[in-house]
Amino acid sequence: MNVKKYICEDSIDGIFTAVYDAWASKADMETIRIETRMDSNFELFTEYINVSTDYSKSEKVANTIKKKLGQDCYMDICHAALSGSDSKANAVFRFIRFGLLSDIKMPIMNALGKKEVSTIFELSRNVYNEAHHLLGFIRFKELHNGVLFSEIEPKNNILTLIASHFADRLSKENWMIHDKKRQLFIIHKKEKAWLLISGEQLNLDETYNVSEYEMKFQSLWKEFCHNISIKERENKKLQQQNLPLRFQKDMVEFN
Amino acid sequence: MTEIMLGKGMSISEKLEILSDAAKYDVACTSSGVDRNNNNRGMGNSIAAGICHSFSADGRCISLLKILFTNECIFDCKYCINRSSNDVKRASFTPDEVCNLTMEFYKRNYIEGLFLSSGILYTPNYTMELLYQTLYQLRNIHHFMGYIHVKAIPGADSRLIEKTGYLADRMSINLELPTANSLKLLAPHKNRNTILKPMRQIQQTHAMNKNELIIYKNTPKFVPAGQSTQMIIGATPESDYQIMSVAQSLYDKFALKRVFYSAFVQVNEDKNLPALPGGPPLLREHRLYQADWLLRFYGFQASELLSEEKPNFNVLLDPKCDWALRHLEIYPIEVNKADYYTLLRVPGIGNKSAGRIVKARKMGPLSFDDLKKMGVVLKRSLYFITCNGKMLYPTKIDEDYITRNLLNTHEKLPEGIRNEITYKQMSLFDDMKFQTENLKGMML
Repeated sequence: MNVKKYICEDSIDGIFTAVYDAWASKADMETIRIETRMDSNFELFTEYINVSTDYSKSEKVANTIKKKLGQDCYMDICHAALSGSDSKANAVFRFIRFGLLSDIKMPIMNALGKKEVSTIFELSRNVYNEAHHLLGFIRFKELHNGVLFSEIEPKNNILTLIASHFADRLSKENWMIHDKKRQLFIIHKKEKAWLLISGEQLNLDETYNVSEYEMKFQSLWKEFCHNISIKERENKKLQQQNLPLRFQKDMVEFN
Repeated sequence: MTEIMLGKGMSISEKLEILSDAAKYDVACTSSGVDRNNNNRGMGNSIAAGICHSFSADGRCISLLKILFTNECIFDCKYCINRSSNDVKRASFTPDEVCNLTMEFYKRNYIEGLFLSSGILYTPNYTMELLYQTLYQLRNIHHFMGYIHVKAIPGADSRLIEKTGYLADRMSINLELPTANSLKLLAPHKNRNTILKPMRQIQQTHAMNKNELIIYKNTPKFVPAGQSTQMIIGATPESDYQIMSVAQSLYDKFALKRVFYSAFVQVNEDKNLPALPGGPPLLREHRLYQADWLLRFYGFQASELLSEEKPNFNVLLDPKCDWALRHLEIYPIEVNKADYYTLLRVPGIGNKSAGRIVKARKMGPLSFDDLKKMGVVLKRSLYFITCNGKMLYPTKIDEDYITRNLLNTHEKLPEGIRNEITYKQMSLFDDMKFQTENLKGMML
């Protein structure tokens, strides 16, 4: 049996469009796979189908999920779709199909005994956890022009999940978070709504341009982090277990 | 007056060095319990789940800017680095300096808020007034909406404590030591009464305020995240049973949100203090925290875990395993039938996985594979459960046998504590019941 691979854009809308197309094809669902990346080696007996993102299709899928599976479940699917894992698109597809066809009378996310559900649960939890970590681990530095600037390199595409937290917290500030891995930016202008921006280039010189006032607080903070540790209890392994190295490299107190 | 003069000449960096160093022995650093949006009212908000911003070299979470307002102190508590008879560098912040540090750190997302404690300068009231001034400025001049945890100073006027409580999210008064006798011995200027009185006051005001909030939505909130306290472990001879009983009554009678346990770190030499050649009793502290969770989230009573006859926790097994081993008559239980509270008591099943099991089994019977996916630690729970009438593999329900196997699973202790137990030695006692008493007996 030939396998059909739908190759879509790496975004919630891209994946939902592919789900729509795959479903509409009425092919044997067992032979369908959805991927967000083209294989580096083409496989034998595989038909590759390129999906171009179509917002009306993706909205239809989103509405169906919300109506049939509920809002909470929709959130879990969105979280999973933001994952950095390669198999997420296919997992989302399998899960939506499982949810729509099953006759379970309870919130579908509770059915953790099912592989389709536990996979999405795992992906969603992983994305949610990273987003929650970064609420704390993000560090802003104040640039000369008063903008608070932060750079991160998360495993998952979590920018949109943390934006509203900072928009509320720092509502009276101009700030910006840069996802180095995906070249994405969240931009927040004082007392305005936040924006997600992609495809822009960063003026690196500007980001190094900080005041002495900024340097003073960076060194005060480093000093504080150093002092607050109890020497008799020192435990670097525990520190690293709680705060993995991949986060540390973007944090001022570890540089 | 001289102390203040000394403090005036210092840079903010020097002050921070002294006053953060002096605050580090306070364990509470949680920023949890309050959900508050900013809604364009200033800077900051608060998330009930709490957020960790960093971790210090000892592996503890840094969530709040934890500082003392001053390390001047008129009290002479034997265990405290800032006791009046110690010759240490003294410094005091001004309210403006604390506000500036808090706001600038917060803006850069270094911290979730402020944890403000203090030594006692001149009198308890004088100090409490300074703390109040600082909080007042933060909330009303800088419009700071983040988290504030403030210490109530024992012996301060109740009106001052109340005023401060309306500006803070959490207030705490340290119990310091589990019994009144120990307190008398090690903290001669404090007494049980000056600690319990404000604790009761905060509890009552908090409860009254809650009722008012039901009627008047816009009433100012009094310590919305409740109060907590802290006890020093290992400086005095109390047993674990005494400590847990105190904790239990604090939860039951004073409605505390958290009781923190702080392994005694020897910073002073004093004839009344124990020498601890092995360093702070971290494993004991760890066992107390485990038991504390059992009290708060697993429906256990202190009297179930320990008794006069068995007053200390088994150092080798966590309190839940220990309890289960003493109640083997009820095991194994059937995972697909047992109620939530019975599941909670099984070693290897936590409150999250117990919740998931109860929900997921409505779909159909669960297998061991399913349990694993839900986060159940099978290597610990397998002796206590059956799935559809079968155990994971045939095993004896025998205390010694299970104890031996559980010890072989190498419980995941926080790094560093692990070194204190040498598993190699254990094989010598293979057929013993692994109780501390026995171990002690062997060593004598």
